[in-house]
Amino acid sequence: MSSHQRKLAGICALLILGMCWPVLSEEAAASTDATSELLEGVLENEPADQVALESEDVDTFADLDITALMDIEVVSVSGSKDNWFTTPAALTVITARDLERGGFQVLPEALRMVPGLNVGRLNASQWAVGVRGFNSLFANKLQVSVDGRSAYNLLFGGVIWNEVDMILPDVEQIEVVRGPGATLWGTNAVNGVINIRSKNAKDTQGWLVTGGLGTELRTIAQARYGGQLGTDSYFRVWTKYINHDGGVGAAGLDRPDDADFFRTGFRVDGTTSESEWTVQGDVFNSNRQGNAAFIPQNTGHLDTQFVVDDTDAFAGNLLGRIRADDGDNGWIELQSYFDTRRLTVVNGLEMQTYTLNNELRRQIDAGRHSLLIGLGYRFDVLDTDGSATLSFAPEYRELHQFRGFIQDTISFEDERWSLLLGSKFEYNDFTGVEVQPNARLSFAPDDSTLLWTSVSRAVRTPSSSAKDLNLILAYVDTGLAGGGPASGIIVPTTINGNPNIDSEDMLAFEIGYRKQVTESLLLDVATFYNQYNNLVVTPNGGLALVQNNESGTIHTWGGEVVANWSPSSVLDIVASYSFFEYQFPREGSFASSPPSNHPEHMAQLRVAYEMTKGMTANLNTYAVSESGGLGGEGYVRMDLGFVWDIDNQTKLSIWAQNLLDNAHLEATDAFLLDGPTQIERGVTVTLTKEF
Amino acid sequence: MHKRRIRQFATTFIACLCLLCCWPPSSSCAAQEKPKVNETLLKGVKSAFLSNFVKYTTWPKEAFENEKSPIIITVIGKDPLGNALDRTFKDKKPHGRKVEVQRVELPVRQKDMTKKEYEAAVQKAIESTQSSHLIYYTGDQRDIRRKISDMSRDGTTITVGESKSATADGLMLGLVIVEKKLRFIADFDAIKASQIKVSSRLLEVAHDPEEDE
Repeated sequence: MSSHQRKLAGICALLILGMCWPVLSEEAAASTDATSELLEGVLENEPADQVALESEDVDTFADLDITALMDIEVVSVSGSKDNWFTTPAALTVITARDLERGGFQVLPEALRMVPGLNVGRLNASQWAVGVRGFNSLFANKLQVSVDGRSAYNLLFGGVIWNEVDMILPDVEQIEVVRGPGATLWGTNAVNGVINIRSKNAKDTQGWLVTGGLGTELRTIAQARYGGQLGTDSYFRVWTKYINHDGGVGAAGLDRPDDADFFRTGFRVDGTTSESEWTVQGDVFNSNRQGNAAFIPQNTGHLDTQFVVDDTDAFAGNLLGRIRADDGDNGWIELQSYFDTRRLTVVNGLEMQTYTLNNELRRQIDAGRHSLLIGLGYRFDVLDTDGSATLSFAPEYRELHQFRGFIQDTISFEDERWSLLLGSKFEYNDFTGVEVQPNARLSFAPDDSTLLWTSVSRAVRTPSSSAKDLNLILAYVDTGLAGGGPASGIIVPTTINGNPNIDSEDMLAFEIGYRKQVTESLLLDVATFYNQYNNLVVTPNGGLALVQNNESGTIHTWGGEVVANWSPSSVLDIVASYSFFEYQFPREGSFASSPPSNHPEHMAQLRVAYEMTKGMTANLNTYAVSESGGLGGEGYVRMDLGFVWDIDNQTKLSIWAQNLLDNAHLEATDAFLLDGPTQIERGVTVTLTKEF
Repeated sequence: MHKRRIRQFATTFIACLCLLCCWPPSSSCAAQEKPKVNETLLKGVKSAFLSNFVKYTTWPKEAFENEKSPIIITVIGKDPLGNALDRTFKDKKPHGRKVEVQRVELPVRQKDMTKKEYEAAVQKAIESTQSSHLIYYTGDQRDIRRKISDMSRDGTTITVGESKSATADGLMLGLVIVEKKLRFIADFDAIKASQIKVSSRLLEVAHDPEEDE
């Protein structure tokens, strides 16, 4: 290891040297006269981009005095803050205002608002979140990033969603890309990417305190305080506590899945004349996530022991980021984070992971080219302590990943056409070198229309479980299992990891269309056709090795249609529909995360009506069809909520969620070794005070 | 084998990194570079600027029909602000009056139109805005700017345009971007000649274009 540590030190030193370059460069002092002339040109020639404006953006400035307004930078040379409208991908952006109008108090629940994203709540503390197929508790084809830190779990693949949360009014925005985002986000960004960003500490000054009570979400208590550290640096500290009631089982009886979560964190943001920087961190603890399981016993044929236990979870992270503007030519950014997670599951497996990740990004604007280059290194330690029925071999692993990416966006014909070409190159200890190229073309025939298409290759590297897992599903009598009389010989049926497992790969084709039909109506359509090869499968039956599916290509296709309509300044309507279909050549070879784990049809209608000033009524309906392998039944969920902004400082919200039925089943997962949990109707009242 | 591959990768990685860090974009590239205006942000800030112009302007009583008459803001031609402007003035009552935002389109010259007919149509469109208290024209056609300024000279309308040349063509205020921030320049003489009063608090912070030279 010492040689690796030396390399790591070397890389860090070089990264820091890289950071200093723009500061030292003379280019940084670019001529502003020429720029402002250019800008006037930009303003006069391209006055409108036709994107409907979020009212909160206006509200932010509407009351500012002229001197304060003159301090706002209206020109960004970052290039990365590309307009949503012109982004050639199936992108949905959820803002803090949307979160308020959705009535959700925890992040994974709020993702229901994203068209095409399937959120299946498994119980009070676990979610299956997936897009474009293959959903499960460990939906392993979706990459999730929280303020630049990956929340993807390398042990089982996928995201443990109760780890991902923050004070929702402090969320800047959630960007969800449906479809591959591997070039920028790396492996495992196969079917989608969720990028959650919190607000700059400068924008969260003062106190925010929320208290809430409810029938399902029994308690929410959160507080944040933001202050100033120096002339150009700001901080906030925050804490959030959630207590959630358990669901009900099939017979309508209470389940033991009650949960409570506690998390606390901080964020410091500062600027210097040449750069902006961020340091942030948070810890999460849950010592009560009720779980139940039927644990296999070797005492007889299919013997089990029913265990109800509280599972422990802990997660903590620390992140630093610095970005330096290189005059008007681009920027350079260095980000490092450390992340650790600990989880004990009900059948006794203890898991602990440590991650150190460094990434350098450099953006260069040169004429019609906008180039983004990145290099990264990630070091992971996976440490497990197995139980009698679930263990990893080896129990301890150290993993290295080196990666680089390059992406060029080229504009033609007065920026009407735009071509994005890029690729990610990665080396990882499990599968070696992975190349993930991506091409995207967009055409804007006029300012209010965009057509785009893309071809991408994305890769999912196997999780540690696919290589190292030893899972005993059941103990069987060899005679009874063969259909004959009992033999008295009890053997386990198992699923075992395969040391030779290889990456899954996917080829995606997408076509999209966006149209600002009128000032108040915006239409967004995205369609996809994906081909998957080498999927990691768990064959049905005992004594099975996890393996790469070699029985042919799996196809999925579908699309999403979204309409945003604001017929008046007090009424906002969002309607969406998504369709998903799949085909695989041979049935029955999957036991976990098959493509069918996704509803064929999903639709939603969200209506927000500002009845009087400050008082908004929200009626949100989500319809989800039955989701094959995921075990979810079709359901229609209706949420009705009133948000009353009493005096710009005090906000009262009352929500009745899941109005249409007493309880419904959204998803199940074989890994939970337990019966399904239904999600119940609930009422929540919260009061938020800012001062 | 495995360790050798890691070593190879690490070497390539470090080499790439050195290349990346030592790759300053050439100055010739910089000259062609086109900075990106954050349009969404700009809409909000521009609307708020207009709101401030209204706030710091005092109109004579004669500019209104009665005590309850609203302040009328007219956007002439292409409207880049869209609903941002309406939302900014929603629920606001500067000088105790409601604000009405109206938009007046400029005629497009048809094939069978003579220049005279076209100009007459333009003139008619502009004259239809005569009762406005603030006129905002975002285009860069000098003749239209002049027609607006001729109409509102000595009158009760504050006229706002875009870029430095707006005031040169007779409009009272011009929105400009200086060092990534929105500013405005003012034609003090044109304002003085009119019947409206613009607060010195606003005019004090007007940008002096001579500073750019």
